Amino acid sequence: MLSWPKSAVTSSITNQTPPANRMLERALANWTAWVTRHAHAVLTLVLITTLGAGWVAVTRFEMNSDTSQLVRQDTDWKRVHTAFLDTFPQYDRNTFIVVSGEQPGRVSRAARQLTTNIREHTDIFQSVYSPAANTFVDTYALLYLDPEALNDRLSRLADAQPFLTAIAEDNTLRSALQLVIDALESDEPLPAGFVQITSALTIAAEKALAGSEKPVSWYNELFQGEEGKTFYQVIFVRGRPDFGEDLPTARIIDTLHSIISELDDPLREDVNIRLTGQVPLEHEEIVSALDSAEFAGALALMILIGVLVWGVRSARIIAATYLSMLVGLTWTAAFAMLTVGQFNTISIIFLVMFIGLGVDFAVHLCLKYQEVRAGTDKISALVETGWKLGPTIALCGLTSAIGFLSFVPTEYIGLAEMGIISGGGMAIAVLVSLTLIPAFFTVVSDPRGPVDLPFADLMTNMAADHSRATAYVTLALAAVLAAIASQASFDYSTLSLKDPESDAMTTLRELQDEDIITDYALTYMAPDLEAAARTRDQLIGLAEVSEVRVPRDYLPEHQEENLAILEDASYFLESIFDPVEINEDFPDPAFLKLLGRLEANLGEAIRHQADAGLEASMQSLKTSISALRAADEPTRNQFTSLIVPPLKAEIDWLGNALFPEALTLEDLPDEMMERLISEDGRAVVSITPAEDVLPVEAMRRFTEAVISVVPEVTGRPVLDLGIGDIVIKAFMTAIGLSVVSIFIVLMLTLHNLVDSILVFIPLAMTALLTLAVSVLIDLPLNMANVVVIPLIFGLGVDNGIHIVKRFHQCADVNELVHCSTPKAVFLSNLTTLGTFCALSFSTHQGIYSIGVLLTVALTALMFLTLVSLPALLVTFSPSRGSTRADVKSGS
Amino acid sequence: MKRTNIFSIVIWLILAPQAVADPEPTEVVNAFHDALIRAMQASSYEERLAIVTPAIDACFQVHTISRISLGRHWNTLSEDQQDSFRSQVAQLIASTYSSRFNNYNGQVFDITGVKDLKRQRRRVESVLTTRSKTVSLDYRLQWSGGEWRIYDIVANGVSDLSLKRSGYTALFKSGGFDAVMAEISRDIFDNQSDTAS
Repeated sequence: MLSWPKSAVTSSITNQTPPANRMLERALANWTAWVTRHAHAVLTLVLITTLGAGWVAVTRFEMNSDTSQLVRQDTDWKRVHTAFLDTFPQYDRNTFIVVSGEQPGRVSRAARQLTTNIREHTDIFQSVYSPAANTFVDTYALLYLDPEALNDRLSRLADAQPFLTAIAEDNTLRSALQLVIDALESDEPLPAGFVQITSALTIAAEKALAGSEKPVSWYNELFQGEEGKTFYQVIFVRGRPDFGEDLPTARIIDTLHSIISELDDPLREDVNIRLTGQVPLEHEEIVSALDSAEFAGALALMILIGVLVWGVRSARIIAATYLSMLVGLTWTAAFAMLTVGQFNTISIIFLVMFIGLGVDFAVHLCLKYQEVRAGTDKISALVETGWKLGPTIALCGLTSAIGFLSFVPTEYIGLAEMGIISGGGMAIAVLVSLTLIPAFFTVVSDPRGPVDLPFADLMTNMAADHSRATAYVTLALAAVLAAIASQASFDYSTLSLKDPESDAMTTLRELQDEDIITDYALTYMAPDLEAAARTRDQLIGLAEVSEVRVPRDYLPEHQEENLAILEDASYFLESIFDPVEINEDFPDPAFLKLLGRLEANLGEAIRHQADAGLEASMQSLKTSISALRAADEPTRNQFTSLIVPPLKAEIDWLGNALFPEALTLEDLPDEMMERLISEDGRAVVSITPAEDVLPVEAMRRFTEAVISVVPEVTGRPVLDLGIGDIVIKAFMTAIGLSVVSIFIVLMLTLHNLVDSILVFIPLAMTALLTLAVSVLIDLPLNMANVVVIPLIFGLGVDNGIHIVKRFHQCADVNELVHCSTPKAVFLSNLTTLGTFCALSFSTHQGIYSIGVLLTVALTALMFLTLVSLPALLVTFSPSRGSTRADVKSGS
Repeated sequence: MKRTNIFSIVIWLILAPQAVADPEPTEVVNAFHDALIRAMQASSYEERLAIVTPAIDACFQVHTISRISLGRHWNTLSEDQQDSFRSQVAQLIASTYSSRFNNYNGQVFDITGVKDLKRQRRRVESVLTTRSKTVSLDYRLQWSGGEWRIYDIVANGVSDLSLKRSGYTALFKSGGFDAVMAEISRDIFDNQSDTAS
């Protein structure tokens, strides 16, 4: 078990005041003494400041999650993209409302209804593009079909011709019922469309009997052949810019959600309505980041309590550390709003990290005070703690800040902002702990005395007993890790931070799988239609390109063939649309009589029916008819109104759709044209990749191939690659900066090259190990977790400095591993580890991956600093007072 | 496009007086009705067939009926196949009318109206009155080769051409051209034997 070295305590009693030549120490001693003299005033001031900071942090809170703004993009591809969005703003900041279901008619109907409702909110939405709501789509739907499919569909319509004519010619059900009776009474075989009629009648009858108001769709009954297929309608909505709100996208999303939930339509339950697109994806990301930060924060606070109770066992110390952490947290949040002005989805997590990092200084101070207090009076102990530990704490604050600040000079604004917030946060943590801890213990009674840490010394013994072996194993391990780490990859997808299971993400994937949107298409803005056509001819020859669409491709592909097919169809379908109208009353007694005849005929037909399917459908119609005869007149009227008016409406639609005129570009609806050709005639060319471009090499191949033909191309591949490359460059810069700065700090504090290198080995190994783990658990680097590697150097170096300094003060390695420093290092690492671990329970992928990698990194750091570093020092450090032989003999 | 329209109007103005002299679609329907009345009065299926067959040849546009009832499959046929399908359809129509209109009992055909359809097509509405009921017969004719010819008869709202299209395309899909030809042969045979008994 670890015990507190008495030598450390006695030595601190011997020099209670700092030497006159140490400026920093003297300043710290004076500061602490001043704080203890004005403890009450200081505490009151801290309280007031904290309340003020809390007010600032809450009232000014702002969140920015526009991932495109997280990276400074002063590049050509960004200018091309901006020029494209300036010309075609329709493609910017969209929300897709995805209506899906198995019955195309219902999907369209729900989409149309939604469009109408959304258009009412002109204060929130500036444009709504809904193909379903445009009569163009209805009128020309058949022209866009594949000729084979069109031909089949027309043959099915031929099946339905008698029934449709019976509906069209009569305002009652008399003709339709008579048609069924005629067919049953005739000695001819039953026509192909017979089952359609009986099933439509059965469905309507069942609905009428059940009191349902859902109309029958003949079109759905007829084209149910495409079973299991899901139909989609997408509504494209653009909100008005809405600045000055905490969550900029919330108003759009909330309004859409309430419109969807208020959609009052009997067919509502048959369709699925979801949101995706840039705005919902961003909104979900912010909400998920905030939720994650909130949850991880709460978890971190609990873990912290656990660690402190386990390691410290003093209510007063726990209260002091907690208080100092909460004050620091509030100040940092206010600092963030006053300097950066907003959080982004990555910087928000510093608030959680602060719980673990900010508490370290307080823990160190409290433990030291606890140690020193044993030999002296309260005020002297506080002052001594202040000046003896203050410089180390300031140094730790500085090195941690370096890790965070390393992204500040890069183009990666998102992490630069986090750097500023964190750098400030570390300074605040240093200031708050050096102020609040002495003030706190001045006014409250002393903490309980130090306890042994229930800490197995197996780990430390390894360093002591097998230092040489441990040292070489460490170096060998480093080589293996380096080999694995070289496989580390970067996830270029700008969507990689989003929760893959969220609604917006699953919907987006579904739309891509169904080929409804092609997120990875490249877009080129040709100067005019002729240039667009030329570009298409150039691009279509590329092996990397599968399809190139120019505006003309939005006309029906098989227009001439389909027009001929439809012309032929008019020969046999025309009778549906100009029937010999029957305008006779159909009073209920006549209705009942006809139903009776139908039931009798069905009974007769069932007895002679050989086909089991036909028999079943006749049987269910017979059952419904019999129930209708027994029901009241309103039910029978409802039966009529569930069939006749909706089917007449569908027949009207069919009458338009069957006989379209040839389409030209000018006939395309304005809202569609505006998305294809700009006012000054520029034309959109959309280029689809031939292979799956999720692997970054494939994405690069595709993009470069297209760029070699048309340099001014934009689209997600260009943006993903461009942003990714900038992030990787920023990542390299940040690593370089943090390594160099940390090394300078090491040289300045240790005054020894070998020691500095030795401290560096566990840090480099931790970085390699973290990268290696990212390879092994398939958690590639992404836009968020690249912060981890530079951070390792900033956060890990403190431990190294502690150990090296102590190593040179201690007589031998046994004393080193058993003195108070490893305990403090261990405990403060544990609090940090706990909070970082809490982050790995996040739904936000960026925060989650930072949590996981930092947990791995901190665990490795702890192990390597406590085991490998002492071993390395014993084996390689020349500046030690005693010889290696002494260490081995334990003298 | 505008120019062509003006041009075609001029052409129409020149040709209009001659168009009046053209045969009316009602004449074709009347001729067919006369043939049916005569057939009903005949004593045997063979006699009826001898009356109806030339009437079908003269009044019906069998080519259109054949082409449309096969849909896209028509274009997959060789010329020989198209020819044999056409003659098979002509025989089927003749045999159908010969077998159905087999008993004269004072039936009367009345033409009740003529309406224009698009693209040089017209409909002639008529009613067949028998002792027990009336049947609405809606003839659809197209202007072809200087005369009106029937391509569809919609009886009580049921289009004969739709029935053919619906049945033959389904058969073609499952059994190919041979299945369709076999089915038509069977129907012709059935028509013959129905009245033979």
